[in-house]
Amino acid sequence: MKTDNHNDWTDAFRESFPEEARPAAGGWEAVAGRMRRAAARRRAAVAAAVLALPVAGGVFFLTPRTDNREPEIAVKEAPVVVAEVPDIVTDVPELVTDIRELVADIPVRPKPARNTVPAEVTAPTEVTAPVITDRVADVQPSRNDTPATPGTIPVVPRETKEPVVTANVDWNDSAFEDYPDAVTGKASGGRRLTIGLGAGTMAGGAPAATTMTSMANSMPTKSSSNNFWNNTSGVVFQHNYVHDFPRSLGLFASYGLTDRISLESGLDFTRLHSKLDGIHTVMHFAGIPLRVNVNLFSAGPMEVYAGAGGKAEKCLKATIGGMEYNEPKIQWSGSALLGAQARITRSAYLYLQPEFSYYFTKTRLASYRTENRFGLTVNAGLRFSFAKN
Amino acid sequence: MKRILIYLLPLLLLAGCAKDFSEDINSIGDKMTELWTHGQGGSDDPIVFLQEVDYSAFVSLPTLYDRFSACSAPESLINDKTTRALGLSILHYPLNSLILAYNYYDSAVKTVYDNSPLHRALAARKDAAEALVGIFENTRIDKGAVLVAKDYEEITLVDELFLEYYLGSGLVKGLDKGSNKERMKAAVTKKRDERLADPELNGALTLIPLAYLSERLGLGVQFSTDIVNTMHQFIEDN
Repeated sequence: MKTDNHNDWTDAFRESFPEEARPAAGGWEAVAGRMRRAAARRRAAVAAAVLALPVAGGVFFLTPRTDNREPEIAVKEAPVVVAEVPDIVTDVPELVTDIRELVADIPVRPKPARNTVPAEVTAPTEVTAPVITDRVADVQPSRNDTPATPGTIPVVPRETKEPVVTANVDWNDSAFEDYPDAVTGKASGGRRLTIGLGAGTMAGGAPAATTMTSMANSMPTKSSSNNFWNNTSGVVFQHNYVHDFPRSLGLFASYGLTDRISLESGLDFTRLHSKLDGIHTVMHFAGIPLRVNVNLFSAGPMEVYAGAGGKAEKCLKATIGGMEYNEPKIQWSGSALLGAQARITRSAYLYLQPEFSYYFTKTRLASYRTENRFGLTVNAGLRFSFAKN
Repeated sequence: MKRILIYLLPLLLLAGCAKDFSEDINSIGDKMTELWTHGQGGSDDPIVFLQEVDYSAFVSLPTLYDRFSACSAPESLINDKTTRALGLSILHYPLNSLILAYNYYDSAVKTVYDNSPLHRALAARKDAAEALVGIFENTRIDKGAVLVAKDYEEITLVDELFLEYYLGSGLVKGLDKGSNKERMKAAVTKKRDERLADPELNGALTLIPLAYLSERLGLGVQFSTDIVNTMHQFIEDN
């Protein structure tokens, strides 16, 4: 695009309007100001979206957990606290009561056949000091028993070979590691199914104000100005033609194939909108993606993954200027992505997923995609991971 | 009472807006009536469209239906015009810019053809091909032309592209016959050479419609492999 003729074509455009249709004094400046403000708002929205995930992840990662059930229980493999605790607890019997209440509130999750050996405690029926073990199960049954004397916690007798309740406290870090990766859907305990809800939009500069690139290999390139487009050799067109960024919303599911690899598919809906001299072109697509994701690495609650795949999309409805138009062809595209996600609860993840895609087929109506067959899409959303038994 | 006013006020405002809008439409309708009745020249003069006399009024029409209606000259007016006048009229047809909204240009031409009595009437004239060849021979892209062309020879790029795709659409019969074919071949060759020589016009955008015309009419004008391949890819894609 020529930049040195900017004033020429700006003036030419303004002069193209009939005298009576020209804005009042200051009108052109007001239009230019509105365009600048709109562009600034778009840039701010994209920047906010890009920053949202790392900020959320950082807050989650750096903020100490305040859940009072977690640190005090300090569930570890060995009941090594036995020797140290009595001095504290016997002096503060109320604390024992608190601990019992905490233990009573602990949600339990059945988890058979893993480290099920009960704590090796030579247990009297009652002890004057609590015995804290890695097995909540060991103490859980006492909830419904005869209330223990304050300051004491009943302990399962040694001769009990089978765990009374095989429950595990799994909100500590070591237990967190047992939870599945929402990308691969794979956990040590078995494969997982992951459901995701996401939204995305194409990213880039300003919405395309261009035309006819679809059949051009050396021609019209995007103009940096919204209402003007030209070809590479500088022919200036002056139709008000803008392609908005596509917007998508989708629901996805993935299934872990291995520890690191998962297969993902789903259904998404995309809206494409363009405007030519006040005539709106709108297309609605339903798409079915299929891709393979690979977990690259994890750090705390953050995980980074990559993926590649393809998508088939069918136009559900297309209109131009209110007139319906038939878009019969399936749109095929391929994509490669790099994503990051942060665990926000035990089974929920917030993700941000930049995705490079290329559209092999074109719609008959011009759109952002046909003018930008290779593009960057930024998707973000939530994933939920569920056990698959 | 307050609550009634709260509910009524927005309705009154809406009613006010609707009234204004209907007044706009009525105002455009009045302009159209005036234009079709008194704003046209003689039989040899091309039809004058609303966009040419009031661009802002035309682009304020929200739908294609409205715009096609605004461009639909009365049948009596069309019948009164000579074939050449009708041919010149399509050069300034306000919805030629629809060519920009489609990747498949035949769709743009067909949409206009289906909704424009002018284009259908022109294609139905027996001497349409001869008249259109004569017009096509003399048109040039005005690089300085903006939304509306100044005359009927120096026209905007969009108008020229639409004309070329209209001629290549097969809707006008007889362009590939006899002297019309020879004249078309000469005109396409001349335009190809002009565009190749002009660094501002030497591109696929302006050359592909000529290659398309040559192929559809069997003119045998030579184009570079890149242009021909791109054109074929474009056709196959659609």
